[in-house]
Amino acid sequence: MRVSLKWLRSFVDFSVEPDELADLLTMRGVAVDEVERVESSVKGVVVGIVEDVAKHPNADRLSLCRVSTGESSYRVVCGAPNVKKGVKYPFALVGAVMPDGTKIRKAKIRGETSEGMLLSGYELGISDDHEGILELGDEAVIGHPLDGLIELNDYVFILDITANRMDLHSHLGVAREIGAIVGERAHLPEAFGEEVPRRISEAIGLKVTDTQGCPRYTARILEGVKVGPSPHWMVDRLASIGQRSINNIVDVTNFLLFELGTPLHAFDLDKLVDRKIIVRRAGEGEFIRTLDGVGRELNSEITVIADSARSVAIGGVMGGEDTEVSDDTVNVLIECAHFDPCRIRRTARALGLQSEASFRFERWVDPTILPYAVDRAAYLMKMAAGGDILEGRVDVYPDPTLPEKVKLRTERVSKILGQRVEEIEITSLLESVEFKVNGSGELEVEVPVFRARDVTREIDLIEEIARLKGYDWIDSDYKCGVRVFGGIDTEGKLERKVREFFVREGFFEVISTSFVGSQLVSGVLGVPVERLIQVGNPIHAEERFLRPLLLSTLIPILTNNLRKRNRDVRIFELGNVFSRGNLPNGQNHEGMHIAFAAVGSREPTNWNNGSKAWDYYSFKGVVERFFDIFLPEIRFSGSGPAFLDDRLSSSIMMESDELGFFGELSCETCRVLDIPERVFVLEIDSSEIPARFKERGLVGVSRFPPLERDLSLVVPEKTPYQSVEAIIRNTAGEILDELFLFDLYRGGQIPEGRKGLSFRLIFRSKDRTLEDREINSLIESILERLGKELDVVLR
Amino acid sequence: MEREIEAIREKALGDISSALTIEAVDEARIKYLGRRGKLTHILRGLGTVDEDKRPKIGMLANEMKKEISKFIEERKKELQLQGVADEPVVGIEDITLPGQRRWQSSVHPLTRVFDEIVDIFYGMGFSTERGPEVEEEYYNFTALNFPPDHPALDMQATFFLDRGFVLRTHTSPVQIRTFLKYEPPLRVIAPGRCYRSDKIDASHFPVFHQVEGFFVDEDVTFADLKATLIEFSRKMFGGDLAARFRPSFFPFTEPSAEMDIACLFCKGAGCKVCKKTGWLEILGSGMIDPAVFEAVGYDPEKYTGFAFGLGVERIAMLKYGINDIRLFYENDVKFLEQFI
Repeated sequence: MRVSLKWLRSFVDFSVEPDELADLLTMRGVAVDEVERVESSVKGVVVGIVEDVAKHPNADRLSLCRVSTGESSYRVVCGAPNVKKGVKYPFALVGAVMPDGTKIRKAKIRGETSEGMLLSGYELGISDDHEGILELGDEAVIGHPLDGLIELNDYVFILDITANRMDLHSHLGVAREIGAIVGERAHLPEAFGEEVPRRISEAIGLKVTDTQGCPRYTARILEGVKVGPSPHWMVDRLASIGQRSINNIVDVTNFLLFELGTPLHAFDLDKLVDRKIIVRRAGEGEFIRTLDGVGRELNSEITVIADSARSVAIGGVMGGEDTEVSDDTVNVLIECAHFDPCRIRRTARALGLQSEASFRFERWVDPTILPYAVDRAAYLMKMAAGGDILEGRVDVYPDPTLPEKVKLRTERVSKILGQRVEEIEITSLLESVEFKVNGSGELEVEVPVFRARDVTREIDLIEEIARLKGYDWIDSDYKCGVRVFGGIDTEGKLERKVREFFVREGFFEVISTSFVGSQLVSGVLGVPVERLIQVGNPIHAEERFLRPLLLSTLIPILTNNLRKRNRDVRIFELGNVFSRGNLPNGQNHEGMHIAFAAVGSREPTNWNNGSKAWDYYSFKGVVERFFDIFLPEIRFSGSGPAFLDDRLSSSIMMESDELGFFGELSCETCRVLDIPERVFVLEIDSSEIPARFKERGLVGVSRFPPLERDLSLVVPEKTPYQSVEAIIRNTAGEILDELFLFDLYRGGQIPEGRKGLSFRLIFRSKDRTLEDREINSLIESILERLGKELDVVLR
Repeated sequence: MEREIEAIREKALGDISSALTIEAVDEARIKYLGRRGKLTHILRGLGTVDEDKRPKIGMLANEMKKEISKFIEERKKELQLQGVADEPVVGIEDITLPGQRRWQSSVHPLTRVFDEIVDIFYGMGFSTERGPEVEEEYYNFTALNFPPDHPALDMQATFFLDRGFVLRTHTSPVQIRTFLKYEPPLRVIAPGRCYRSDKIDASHFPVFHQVEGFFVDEDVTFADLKATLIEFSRKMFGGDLAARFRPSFFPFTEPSAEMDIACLFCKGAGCKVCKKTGWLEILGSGMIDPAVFEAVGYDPEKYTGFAFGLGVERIAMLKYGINDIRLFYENDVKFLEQFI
């Protein structure tokens, strides 16, 4: 919302500097986001003093003045009734520029030369007062430019209005806040336009049948207007807040929307069939073409303004094209009504049509200000477009809104704010924003109607007091006792450990979006679409699903990095994934997953060691280290899902549950995703981890020396490594401290159909020095079992 | 025969001591002790020697074999020791060659900020609660005193799912879930992911993160709110930073306050980042609205409390001088690397 300081000054007089005012408003909850200076185009205006006033010889209403600027004096023809000898006025010299850009010239007026012009506030563009020229005070120095004396520039505040303060969507509302700051009450500007003795009821028939949708309907009629351009002060004001001028009738309705916050609408009275206004619910499927030229189909939830033949406006949202004011319009019906906020909100939603009017009606418009607003509209239109105001207004208001009273216990104020405010101060704070306060101890506060929507309870009054007093005033003391202790929870601690693990392994954490497209998720990763949770109003239509797998966002991160020529990518993510149960009415499921992926070199390329790319076994090493720490109970089984290479992948099983998978993306997957590299991935459901994770204690460091044995075994080709290892470990028992496979070879002395596996076994006991003998016999039993069970021989 | 053996010994010892490499020693070993070596030849030929001389020559040859073997081992050791010192290792002539490194990495900058934030609150006696991201409208709006069909809903551009579910627009529904689970006193933070359907630009992304916090007890006041959050901002941004609270509006708090800190970039003088105001908004807060307590069955006459919500992205952007929120979600390795 933009407000102009010049405009605000028509409600309340203040001399606070714009920046300071912006701060004061912000600290009271009227947040000023920005202050914009709007440079006045006025040039060449100085302080002049009228030295002599004489009657114009040829015109009764004009006078002939001698105006001095100290250095010289000028002959000036003046039309203002208030011109007086010895008084200082703003004086535009020949060549001066006016707000609308026109230049002052030497001119002959009714035969007398005029060398300049004495100006009114209206002509200077600083007020709408054009009743007379602007008298300057004693502080004005003759001959000095006017800029230093009067602020000719305007300032526009860009406000961020909170959703509760519907009253602030107008200059009047903001002026009331400024009034409270400067200790003055905002006054309403002139609204009385002279009426002609012809009753409005003779010119229009009004009937409101939808009083629920339209609780109040008022209107005035102006006959004999001349539609044309608006006066420049109004054009200026509208321009200052970013509104385009249309014509002198429509501009007034716009002007008042921003001035008072009350939307108005002007109908061409002669286009209303039978000169009738009926406010009713629309018929189902009823049609109207609105001002924006769009044809719209209505429903019975919508309030329309109709004449006896058809609807002529969507109440509170937008007028119809048929009855729009045009250049030929002569008679105008000015409507000012109050519409139900919920109904307007639904109407605007249903039609996809938001207007400045619907925006305000949705937020609730003060129904008690409508008569004033429609009067002021008639007054301003008459001023701008001429015509006659018919006597009286029509006004249907069956259920008037009255101010509500709210109770306030003064001790409750300190209970919430932590600091005492005296009753007398509570009263004066509330009165500064037009609340009425009665009683003592328990106060009875009458809320002004324009705040009726946001102040309905005691706590609202307490907020009002806090805001008006200023939050700075409240001490920042810790006052309440500590009755509860905190600290990190198990999940949080574990998440940190997981992250720590991956950082140790050189993987970067990524945090990605939750939205994915079906192409990747279903097409590539094979998750059925019916298992996906769908967003009804996605930002991108394609990405309307919530990710069922972290891989569905990890893979795009990976490919984006590759596309940017980041060749070595090691990433992991912890995050929630979403899916929907199998059944047609399946529950939403949300749970934490862990995923990681690697591509490129597994060590930085170096002269000393060459460049080693990730392969299945180097990736599996990370996988094994991960599970050793976090979930040692798992086992690998079979191959992973179809998008992985079926030879280089496994499912990760916990008892009979499949927790996830790891392996290399298949060639086909890489082809579809256009990835020219080998990519290794893992994803698991991590919900088992918190329950099963065990913090490790020290198992003891042996003081006794180890014994090492190397075993070179010849193993049938088809026998998996795992079964060989299992027998060795089983047979050796606890005494086997470490085991690793340090060589795998074929050919040479190894016969066809067999492979050579070389193990190093390190034995160590916690409580004694091992003897060769003992280990030798252990090795013999290992070999014996290997031979018997797996047909393995020593090389 | 004995002389022949002696001559072999002489020659062998000579060859071995003059061998300059381990390979040369091995060659000598093969030459004398190998299968076709000279000494082996003699031992094999013992059968042709006179029977009475046989034991003596055999013994001599065996001793000789032992002696040469020992000599070979010693010479090998000698050469090995020399070799360690002399071996021409690549690079030893240029120690300015770069060292070999391992990959380094880091947690995501948002995680870092998350951890920093929650650790400050843990230190102040807060503990963690969590809630789902796919949330019921009831928890996300209704129980938080959002009236239906109210423009306040427009503040929170919502992603709608079916059956009354939404993607939570803030972490505040965790307040409700916690209130329904426990009785006061409660001092809780709820970190998590939220969603809003704002148009994507430098400061908006449909996914973002918040840390919710709330404190409910019998005598919690606005003064406690200020004390807690000022302490937080001092720990987060540095000790002497000015902070201010200004009135605002959230349906679930009243009075509501935005907290600003003096702009980190211009120290309050006014710059582009703070839009010349000298202040940066860092969080929203307020006293929990009695309507919220009523919705969860707490007695608002007995209990009071404050709540706050801070945007993790916003704080991370301020802290690290990041001007585009999308960088967090792009996860370019070159970006992530800068947080090692």
